Order: sequence, then structure tokens, then C-alpha cells
Amino acid sequence: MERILPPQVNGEAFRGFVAEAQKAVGRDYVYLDLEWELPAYNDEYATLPKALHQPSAAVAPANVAQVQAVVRAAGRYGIPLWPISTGKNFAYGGPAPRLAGAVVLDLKRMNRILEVNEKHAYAVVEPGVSYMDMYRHLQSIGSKLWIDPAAPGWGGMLGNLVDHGAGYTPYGDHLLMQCGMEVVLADGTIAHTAMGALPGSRTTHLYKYGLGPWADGLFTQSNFGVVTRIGIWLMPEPPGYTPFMITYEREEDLYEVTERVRPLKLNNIIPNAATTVEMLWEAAVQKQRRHYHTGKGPLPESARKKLRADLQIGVWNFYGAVYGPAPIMENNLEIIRDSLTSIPGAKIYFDDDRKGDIGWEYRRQLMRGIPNMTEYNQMNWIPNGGHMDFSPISPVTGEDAMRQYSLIRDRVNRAGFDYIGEMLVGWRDMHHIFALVYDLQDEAEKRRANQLFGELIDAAAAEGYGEYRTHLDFMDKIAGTYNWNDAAQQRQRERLKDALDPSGILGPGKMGIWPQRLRKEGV
Amino acid sequence: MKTLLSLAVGLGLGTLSSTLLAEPDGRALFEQYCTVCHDRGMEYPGTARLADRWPQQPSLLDREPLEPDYVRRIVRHGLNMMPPFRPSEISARELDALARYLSTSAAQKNKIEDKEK
Repeated sequence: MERILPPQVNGEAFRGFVAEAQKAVGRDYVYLDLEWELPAYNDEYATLPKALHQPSAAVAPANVAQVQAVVRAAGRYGIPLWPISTGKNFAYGGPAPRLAGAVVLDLKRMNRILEVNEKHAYAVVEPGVSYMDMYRHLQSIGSKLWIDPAAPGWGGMLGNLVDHGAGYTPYGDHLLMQCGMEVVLADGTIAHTAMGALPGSRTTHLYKYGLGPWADGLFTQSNFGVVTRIGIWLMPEPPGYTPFMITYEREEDLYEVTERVRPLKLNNIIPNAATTVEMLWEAAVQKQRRHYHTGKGPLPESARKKLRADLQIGVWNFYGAVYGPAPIMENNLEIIRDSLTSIPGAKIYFDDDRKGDIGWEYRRQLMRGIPNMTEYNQMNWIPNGGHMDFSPISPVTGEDAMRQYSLIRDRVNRAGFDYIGEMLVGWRDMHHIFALVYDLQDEAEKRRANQLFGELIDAAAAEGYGEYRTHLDFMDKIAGTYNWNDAAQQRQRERLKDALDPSGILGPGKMGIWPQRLRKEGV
Repeated sequence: MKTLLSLAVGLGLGTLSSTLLAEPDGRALFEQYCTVCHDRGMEYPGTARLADRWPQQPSLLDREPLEPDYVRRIVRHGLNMMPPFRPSEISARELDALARYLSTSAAQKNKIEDKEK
């Protein structure tokens, strides 16, 4: 591994920045060693050569003053910075920067839980706080508040939220539950957003919008500033919790399940981010493919049938939960049961029915706000597994669910991969997550996976579907699909970028937004 | 100072004052970073992966002693599905302590565990 410097940066400028960064954060926290420090900043599951996203260095500040100093130094030397929080977003590139040679601004050491407010049910955290950290902390102080962990749970609360991540409790739409933000701008200024802009504000984490344009969203999935602190609303522990699972026998049941789930979600009968899970997702978190089929190509129906029998699962498996006092839960469960179990072949399960079932247990925990790593078992589906997630948004209709499912499944199977997917139902949309799992030791398979991913983007866009999040390799391509009216939105973002970060040092290429001096780097 | 501070940070707020003066504790580091994937049970991805090769001792808690240099390399470079850990997460000195802990026998690990209880 050889050092790659950022474009338009010579060795002298790089060394000048490094010296200033070392002065700001201490020599021990500027990582330059190509053998023992920097490899961990690469995209571990890369399908293309890792050098495409290899950083030149990493800098790990311990506080906001050090972030300011590093950002200012980067501005003086023209060094691109790539901010990360816990760096565990491995389906989308992990800690690696979009631009080769960028310096990773690693905020993991900023891991203070600044406040847990039981009365108003929120927490304030720095970027390095993981779901695991917060869960352990709440347990240790005897808190009656729940978190909403992403799966897997080693991810960062702040990082996941600003990347528009989702979870599985009623607080599953993470950005919706954000309130108050501290941001370091490209010139080193610290800004507090919304109510926090009022000196001595008593409502920074209670009311999201403040006065005037609500700017917090501009700092999510963006490169307009470095978010160093965030307020997150937490769910008060309800008096009761009843998770359930309903299995469906036929592939085409997805249509009817989705149609019936929509009113249950719209009317909050099912309050949590409920999920319709395809059988291979269920299988991949607890079984290995080779125990059912040793050949290449998509899993044959005979093997799928045996998996369903062994795991007592359906082709589709719906997970949801009800919360609250017993009479409310019983009432809502009756409505849910009437609607969702009247589909022929449907079977409903509760906790007592699935003791010892790994697939059930991790879902039960997630819908209850308990972080775990079980979903990472997907990488065990094949030996040496890696993955990228393809994540289009869908309306909550049977027609759209079936169309997206077919669109992805057919192309995936033709390319020789398994469809491993779930549809997470939010307020009025479904996040359709397809986990593309490939063999990290098979270069041809990785190239095929990368090509397939690009084809899926085009096919989805042609049908009117866009993705909500993506891997480093596809940020430009997906940003390019949001091109209505001569890409008016993209041009607006570029104008904002040029105004807020004229030196173009923050996160070049994040979600297809490039600073003027590097705009040609994009697609 | 580097190690003392990063250990304190790694272990969270609750243990800050007590760990500022302490040497890195390999077992505590293992619990903080490793058990989420390597505890006992097939719901832990690392354990499920290692069950193929080490069916009698798939959890690192039960594994025969590992060479410290091997631990250092795997932590910093990853292995197959396991991604590497950055020095901002586990410092060099913490990694030494973790490697020492994993180089003890299962019996010794369990002894440490019992003593802690």
C-alpha cells in the first residue's frame, strides 16, 4: 500500500497540514502508518480496487476545538477532509473517503454522552457514541428510555442519523427524532441550529425548527459542515411490548400484505417501523448457503423449500409490534390479526412460539430498542462474504412492492446472486433494502456485483424509483438520477457548496456534491 | 497519556475516573469491542463464522491461546468478513493488552471472569 495524496495537493502542502494537525490533536492521533494504521480506513468490502477510496492520512480530534483547528488547517493547505463518526457503515463504504487521498476526519474519540434527559426524553451525543455505548449507559443509570438502534448495533447514533438511517421501534425514522445540532463550518465557525441559536436557549432539544429556514437537514448526507453534537429524542419505556411475526407462504402474497399494512401504518395501529422480510434474509442471519446448495447461481426452489421448513418461515415474513397498556395492545392486535392473518396460509407467532430462534430473537430485540450484531451474520451466508446495500424507496402499495421486488430479483438472479431483501414500512414509504452479498475473494464476482448495482440504479430510475442512501462508488450515479429540470436540485446544492465551503475541503463527492475545484472528479 | 485517555474514552462515561489511572484491561477491552461478535452462541457473527473451523470452541472465550502478533494483525487488517479496527477505536497499547488477554488459555480467561464476578 503506497500513500495517495489528494488531487491538487503536493507533498509540501500535505506535510504542512500534517504538522498543523499534529499540533492540534497531538502526534499520536494523526495516523500516517501505511502498514498498521491506515488499512483500517479502507473500504473493507470494496468491489473495485481499494485504492479508489484510500485516504492519505486520518486525524482523530478529541473535542470540537480540535475539529475547528483541523478544519482551519485543511483550509489553509487545501486538504480535503472526509468526516466519519464510528465508521461502521460497511454496506456503504465504511470509514473510507469518496475521494482517494482525502484525509479522514475520524470523530470516534469524541464519544461523550453529554446529556440524558429523562423528563423530556432525549439525549445529546457526540459522533463517537455507538448504539451499544448508549444502551449500556442507559442500563447503567437505570434509565427508562429506549434507543432506536440500527442493525447492526455497533453503528453510531449521530452518524446513522445524519446519513438518514432507520431503525425498528416507533422512533425508526431517525432524522424525524433529531432535535438540535452543533456544526463546525468550513471556516471553523461553530453554529448551533434552530432553537440552539438563541443564547441560553431552554428548548434546544425540544422544538426542532427555531425561527426561519430549518437548516439541520442541510447537514445530513451532505458536505456543508461537520456535525459535532446532536440531540436525539428517545422513546419512553411503554407499559407493555408485544412483538409478533406473521409468515406467508407464497411469493405473490407480498402484494396483499403490503396493501393491508398500509392502513395499519397510516392509522398507527402498528406504530413501529414494521418490516416485510424475504426468506433468504431470514436464512442468511442463521444458516450458511452451502448447507443447502453447493452450486453457483440463485438458490433453487428445492433448497428454498427445505430452508422454509427447517426455519419455520414463509416466503415473506412480517415483523411488527404493539406497545402500551395491555388493553390498547390487545385492541390493536385484534385489528392486526383480523387484517394480516386472513391471507390464506398466514401464521402468526409470538415470543413464546419462537424461543431459541435466532432470526426472531434479534428482531424482537431491535423492535424493543436493544442493539445487537446478529444481522451481520448475513456475511456468513457465503464464505468470505461482503455486502453493499441497494436501497430504493417505494410507495406502500402492493403493485409497487411487487414491481420493485421483481425488478431487483430478476436482475440479481440473472447475475448469479441471491435476492436477500426486506421492506421496512415507514410513515408513507417503504425502504426496500436489498443486501447484495458477494465473495470477497472472488474478483470476478466482485466486478459482477459492481456492474449489477449500476444496472439496478438505472432500472429503478426508469420506473420512477430513487435510492435514499448509497455506497461511495455510486454516489455520483445516483445523484445523477435526481436530475429533473436540468438537474435544478443538484445545481442548487453546488451553489450552496460553493458558498459554504469555497475552499472545497469538506467531504468532496459526498452524495455527488463536489466543490468547484474538483467538480470534474464526479461523473 | 495517549493510552490512558483513549481507554477512558473507549469505556464510556461511567468508568472515566476509575480508568484514567489504570493500565489497559484486556478483558474489559474484549467485552467492549469483541463480545458483540465473539460471545458464545450462533447469533454472534464471529462465533458463527469460526464454528466452521473450530466447532468445539467457536467463541473466542473458549478458544485456545492466540499468538499476540496474530491478534494484532487481525484487529488492524481484518480477516474475511471481519472488518479491521482503527487506532482511534483501539489504541496500540490497548491492542497489546487485548492481545495478551487472548493469548491466555480458556481456563485462564474463565478464571479471570470468575474473579471479576
